[in-house]
Amino acid sequence: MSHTVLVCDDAVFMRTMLSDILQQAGFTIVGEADTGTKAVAKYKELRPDLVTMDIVMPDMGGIDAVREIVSFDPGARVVMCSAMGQQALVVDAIQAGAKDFVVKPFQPSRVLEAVQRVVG
Amino acid sequence: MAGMSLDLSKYVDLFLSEGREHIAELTEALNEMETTPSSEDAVAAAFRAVHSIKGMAAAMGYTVVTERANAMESALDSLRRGDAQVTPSLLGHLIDEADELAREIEAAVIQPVPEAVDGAAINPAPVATAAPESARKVNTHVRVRASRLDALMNLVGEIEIARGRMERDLARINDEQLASSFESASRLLHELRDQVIGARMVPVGQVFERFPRLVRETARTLDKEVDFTLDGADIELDRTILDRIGDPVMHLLRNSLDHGIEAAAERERDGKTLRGRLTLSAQREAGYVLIRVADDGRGIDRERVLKRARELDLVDHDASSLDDVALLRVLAHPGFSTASSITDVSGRGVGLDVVDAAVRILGGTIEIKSVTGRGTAITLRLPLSVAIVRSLVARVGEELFAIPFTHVLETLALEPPASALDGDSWTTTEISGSEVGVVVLGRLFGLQSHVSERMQGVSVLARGRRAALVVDEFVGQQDVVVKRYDPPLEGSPMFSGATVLGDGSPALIVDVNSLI
Repeated sequence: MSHTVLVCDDAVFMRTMLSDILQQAGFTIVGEADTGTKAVAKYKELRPDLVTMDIVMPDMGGIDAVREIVSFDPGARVVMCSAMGQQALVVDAIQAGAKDFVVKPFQPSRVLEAVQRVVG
Repeated sequence: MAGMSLDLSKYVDLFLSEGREHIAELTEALNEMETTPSSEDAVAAAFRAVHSIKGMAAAMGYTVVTERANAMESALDSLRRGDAQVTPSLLGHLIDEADELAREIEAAVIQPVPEAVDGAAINPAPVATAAPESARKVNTHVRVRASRLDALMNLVGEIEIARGRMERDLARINDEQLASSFESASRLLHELRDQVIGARMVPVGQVFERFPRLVRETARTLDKEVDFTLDGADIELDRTILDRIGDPVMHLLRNSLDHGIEAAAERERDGKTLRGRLTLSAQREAGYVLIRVADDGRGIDRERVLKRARELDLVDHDASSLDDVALLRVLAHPGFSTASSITDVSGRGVGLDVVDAAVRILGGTIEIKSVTGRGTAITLRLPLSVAIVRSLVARVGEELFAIPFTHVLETLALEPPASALDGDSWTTTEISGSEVGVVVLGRLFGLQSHVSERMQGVSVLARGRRAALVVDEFVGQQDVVVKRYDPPLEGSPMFSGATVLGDGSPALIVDVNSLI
């Protein structure tokens, strides 16, 4: 049985690309979210093995979403996706509970490295 | 992880369609900033739009777009953080930049996708066999509001009814030219119908893809070991039908997990594989889609069902067994449930009857096959499309009828004129100062209906004329699925279709036009 993933990003393009990378590597995408609020709700509903979370999203941002998810489930495995130049926010994300981060634009090898390390 | 490659050519169309949407969002946000310079939401929205464009362009290797988007993002970020103010000149600059950005997005997809700078393998995409014109034909997807698809389908339903009426009217006229013109128009309408139906088709996977997870969790709760397979996820079904069978299918899955598949220990004793098998499959068959939930569990306990059926007086008391057809009829009876303990999974009294009602409303049927000790398979046979007409449901005598809302003006209480009380089915009366035709449906349809001094009526409009239809009472209003109705060959038919209401009762759909 493969690991399940919840993909969170407000851009369809990003979600599509990331889902493709993960699916090709054998992961199962069980849900997508385009706002922080939906990301938290979907996490509670689906309890995925892994979450990829974009930082910049409308309604509730990614870092706040991570904080809520981790407070709901301390074992939550979240990988943060940030755009180049958002290094400061990455620190915030880790402090909020994210386990690792990848930088956009996605390099498949780097994405899978981070993800494999997080799911163990 | 060596050998992983990303074929960027797959994403060109998505980049273009999403890029255009983000440009639209950006433009809207900038317009908002022009009228309300202090709007923080507008600045945030503009920032996000540009940020997304930057991300996509960077992923695709479109450096020109990336750089411009990056510059705009910095400017908007300063505004966002309050380090700068929205001034007319800054705004003018951002608007110009947005226009340039839009142009560069269109231009970017016409050039070949460049190799990645960092060595990750990317297949360079020969983008469009580009026409010299910069306008590139892309197979873009368009977002359409679901309500618009429903409106289209509604119209298709109405057009079908109108077309049928025209066909009958034309049959009385012997004009070859007219007949041939009508046939061409008919064919076009039919094609239009097919296209609309096609537009509404979605793969069942869209709803079914959440089931594997739910099945796993339910199995865990019930302490059952189950292998779940989903077949035919890309079989397509009308989105309305798919929406409405999601819950019933989940219910069937829960039933299999709860009552069908045995605990591992019991399976072992019976010489079965330790893990139960549960399958959800979709397949096409002629004009239908078959959705099947099958398990290799203990099968339906016919004895218990028969016992309970006797208690509820649903079968002859000397019936010794139930065949599959009778079994279905009994199980589908409202409120039937043989659960000896209420588990929180199946609930009380919520049984196959709910699934059956849902399927019948959609114009479909259910089939059961169950073998004691071996398993159960329940098949939902669903039509490919639904024509839906919102209607008023009225009772006339013992029968129910649906009156499409398109004709309804209002409902009212009437005092039928004396001639109606005497036995006429047609008469006139005065309503709000004008003379209005009155049709006593009970008489017209030849039903047992008592006309009293105060009756319920619905004021309708058809062919520019008003009339009042007299009924016994109004039962409610609902979306009614139109099923084909072949009218009697002679005389003008009074009904345009037939349907099954929410409670399972059949109802004829009144053809208001032909009544007036």
